[in-house]
Amino acid sequence: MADEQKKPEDVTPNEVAADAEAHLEDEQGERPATPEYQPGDEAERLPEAESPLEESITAGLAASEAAADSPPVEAFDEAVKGVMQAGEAVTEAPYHEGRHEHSDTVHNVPLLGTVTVPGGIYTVIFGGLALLTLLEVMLAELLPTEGFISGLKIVALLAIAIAKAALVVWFYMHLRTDSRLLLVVLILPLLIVLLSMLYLLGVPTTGYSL
Amino acid sequence: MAEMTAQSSGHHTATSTQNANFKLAMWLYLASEVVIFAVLIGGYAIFRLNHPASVKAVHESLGVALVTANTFLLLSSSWSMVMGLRAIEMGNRPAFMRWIGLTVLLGIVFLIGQYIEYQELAHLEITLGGITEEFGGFGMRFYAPTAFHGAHVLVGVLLGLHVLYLGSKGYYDKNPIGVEMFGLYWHFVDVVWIILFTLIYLV
Repeated sequence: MADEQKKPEDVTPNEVAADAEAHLEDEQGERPATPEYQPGDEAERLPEAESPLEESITAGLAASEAAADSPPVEAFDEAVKGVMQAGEAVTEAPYHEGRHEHSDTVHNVPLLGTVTVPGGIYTVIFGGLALLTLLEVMLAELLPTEGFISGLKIVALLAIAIAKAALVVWFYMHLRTDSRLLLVVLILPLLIVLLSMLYLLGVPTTGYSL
Repeated sequence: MAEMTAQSSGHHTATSTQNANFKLAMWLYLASEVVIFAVLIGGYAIFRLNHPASVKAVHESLGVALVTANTFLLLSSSWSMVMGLRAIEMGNRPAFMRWIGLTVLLGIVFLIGQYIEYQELAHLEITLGGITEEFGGFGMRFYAPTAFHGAHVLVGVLLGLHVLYLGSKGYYDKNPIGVEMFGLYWHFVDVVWIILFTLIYLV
């Protein structure tokens, strides 16, 4: 009983905690928290509805319980899970700790198969860009500038240019391995500005000629 | 020991997140550039559709030899840029210095080539504001995208020198994200030129 005679300021927090824990242990042994509670009763008590409203709510809960395992609900759950995973993939794509693949051997190169060059994929892409540029200049210089062929030529040249730009973005700017979010950041403003320009071209001019 | 491992892996993840954020920021900046260049390129494309004769006259006077050489310079600089990034990621600082040095050099030669080309155009009296009978208002539609692009190359050269300076101090040895961000900028400038070259000089 020496403890009780101590002044409150003499009691350390540790002593208070130890005291409380000792009391708790005593009580746990003697009586349960809610003596009247019987888990078995729960199921029997629930269906006893006292009003039509409660009755319908209980029926609704039971029905939803039964439907939870049905194929449409499971399919919906799967779909939600898929969307969540896709979202995570967009926001948390692996960054490889800032390091990219550095193999000198590249597989499945078009026309060449497996190629081993210093610089690996980067050098292969450079070769492709150079060849496409040569092809562009040859097409532009050799094909006629008038008539139907010239129209086809313009389409082909623009297609090659876009392919070259895509190669640089995909391999040199690492969009092939980086987060898809970065691709959205590139494509979205491009789409908006192109649609805006198309819209403005549809607005009647005010007499100003381009 | 376990604590040390936990600490270092925690630091690792923080760097990784930081790097991903740096890259996102760089791409958002590039997105704003996409809008500016798309408008300038769109302006040229509309001129090209409405005045094919003026553009044809310019093509016949100018030829494609010089600009093709310039295009190869810029393509090569993009390759040397990505090889420099590869070198620093593999921990080879001397090779990194050589590749980025080459990138900067190629950028400078490109600018000299563009200067020579502009002089030729000046002899043809194609100016920013001038409208001639033969070439129409080609100057304004031409100089706006190409000079804006040239300014980007100039900024890229200055950035490249900065990256070289920091790299020589060992700044990128542990985390080369700065090199990668500079690379994104440089490649973007290359992509713009790929489109400009085809649209303005070939089509």
